[in-house]
Amino acid sequence: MPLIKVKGLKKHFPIRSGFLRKAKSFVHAVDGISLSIDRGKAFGLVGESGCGKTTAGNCILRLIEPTEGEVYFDGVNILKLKKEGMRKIRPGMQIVFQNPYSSLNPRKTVGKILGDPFKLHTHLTEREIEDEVLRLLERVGLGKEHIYRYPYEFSGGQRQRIAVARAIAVKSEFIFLDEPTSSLDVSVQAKILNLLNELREDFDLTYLFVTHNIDLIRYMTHDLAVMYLGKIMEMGTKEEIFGNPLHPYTKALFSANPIPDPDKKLKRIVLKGDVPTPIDPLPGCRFFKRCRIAEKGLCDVADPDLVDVGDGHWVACYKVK
Amino acid sequence: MSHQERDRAMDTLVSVRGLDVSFLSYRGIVRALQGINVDINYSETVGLVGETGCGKSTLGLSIARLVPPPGIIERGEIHFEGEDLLKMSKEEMRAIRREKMSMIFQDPTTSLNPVFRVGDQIAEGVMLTHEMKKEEAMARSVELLRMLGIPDPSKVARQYPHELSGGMKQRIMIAMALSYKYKLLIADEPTSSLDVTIQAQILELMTEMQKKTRMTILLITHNMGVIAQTCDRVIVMYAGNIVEVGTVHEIFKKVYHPYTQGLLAAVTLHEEEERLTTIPGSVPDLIEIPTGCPFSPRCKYREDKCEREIPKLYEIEPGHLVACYLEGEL
Repeated sequence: MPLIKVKGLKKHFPIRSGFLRKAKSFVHAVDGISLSIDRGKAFGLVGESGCGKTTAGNCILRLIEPTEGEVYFDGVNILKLKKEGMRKIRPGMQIVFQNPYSSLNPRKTVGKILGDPFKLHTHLTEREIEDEVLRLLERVGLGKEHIYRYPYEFSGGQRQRIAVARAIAVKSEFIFLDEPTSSLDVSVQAKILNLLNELREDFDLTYLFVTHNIDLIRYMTHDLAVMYLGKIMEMGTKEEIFGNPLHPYTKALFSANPIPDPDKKLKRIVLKGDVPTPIDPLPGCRFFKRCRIAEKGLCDVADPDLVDVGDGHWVACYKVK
Repeated sequence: MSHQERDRAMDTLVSVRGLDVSFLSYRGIVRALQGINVDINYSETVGLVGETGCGKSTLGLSIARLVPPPGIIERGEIHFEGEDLLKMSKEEMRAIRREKMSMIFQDPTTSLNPVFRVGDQIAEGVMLTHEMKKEEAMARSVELLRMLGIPDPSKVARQYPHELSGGMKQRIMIAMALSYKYKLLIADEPTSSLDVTIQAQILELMTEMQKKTRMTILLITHNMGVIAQTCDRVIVMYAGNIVEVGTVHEIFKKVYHPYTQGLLAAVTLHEEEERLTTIPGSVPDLIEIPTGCPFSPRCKYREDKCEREIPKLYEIEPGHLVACYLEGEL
């Protein structure tokens, strides 16, 4: 049984205007996505800014309330849980944010930041908590002396280590990694990625890895989904998606990624125009306007479903057989 | 001057010699650039790469003499077409910036004036450089936007920056950079705030324009992929120093400096590899710079000599410079 199972997840944000603040239109940030993640695996969500990948992750953790859909964590539909039930399940589902400069409270010491989860979710004594915090610091590659320091005394990479330590503090099973390295330099990024991979193996953690960086997805995950304007365009194992991308958007996205090798000059599929707005989208495929193989009267009439094309590979496109 | 030297001098558009730039902070003097020597040739695209705080943006700003206070250019020479920019008056420098060089910054939102229509902003430069009347300049602006493949350019010209997407705004900046026959374009992280598909559009556009106008481009970025795909030559910087210079092919295929090696290893994500190669330690504080090679505290090939004296940039192979005592024996 997969640890995380998501069915028909939707999140529509209302745009209110006028005297009575009536919702006139909706931003379809996440528009019906389904996926499942097996225990101990890393699942990647990749897409450009505004495609709804972060919103999807936040809904899966129930940090924001989805409009529609089901989210199962270890077989329990967490969207049906009351506050108390949710509180019990929280330590198992954690998050690491993109920006470690704003995700750590500047007025708390590292000892306090890492000690708080234990105070909330366990009955350990102060002494025991301190031991746990020291163990955590060591595990993420920081020193004992760091326990009394404040976040501002650390570099970006070290702060992200603290954020990771907080996420794994109390028996966590599932971590949503929201662009965890995009604010870091490449040499620092490599260290954090190594740490994340070690932790996943040591503690049998399950990751949802959200990023716009295609190389990272390829390195970090087992399965992935490509999102575009709130929809999953293509989904499958990493080997399948990278070895045999089928959706025209996936192809364009991969081809735009600059390869750090001057001998492999890109044959870019340059997409025309910008990403259209997710406000009350038109019927039909979301990619229709920028697609090279779109067919009028077919692709702009109804939304294509995500169809299994074999080998654990799913595609949402009428033109892919 | 020998023949060879003269030939070389004729190819060089910008020549920086012994450039020191510092920023005064309450903690002390931040040595952002330390004795920079570098040449940029006519009609080439040079990539300037390095991590946060290595001084790459400061070098770009120095060439345009736009280092913001509390930064000061302490000493050195910056020759542009043979003339030292640092000896020029403010007026002369303004003329250079108006007619010879142009800049694009990372964030197009802050580079455009929010209260003017983008067409007017492009036209302003056109009027100054071409001594055109307003109507002509506006027509020229629309023409530039059309050249950049912007749909419905006359409508876009009448819009305000907030009405446009990030990619579109960066295209407006490029339109400005192309509005005159500038010799040099300094592009500081022009695509870093954009999505990859938009980045691909912008880079394609810049490469195409470079081919047509033979403009020299100094492309400042931290993205090794962008460098590999667009540049002819690469300058690698670390902690206020240039550590390696070479053609894009040499830098990626026959690297001589341990830092460049580490940088490349960190971006090459091979699925097969269990762990990524990393560079131990972290970037030095530019207030308390270690004596000797700035990279020595993190370098696995460190020798006694490295900690005593800064290695000079020297030509290890024709056209390939490196600042390292190892002489390429990595």
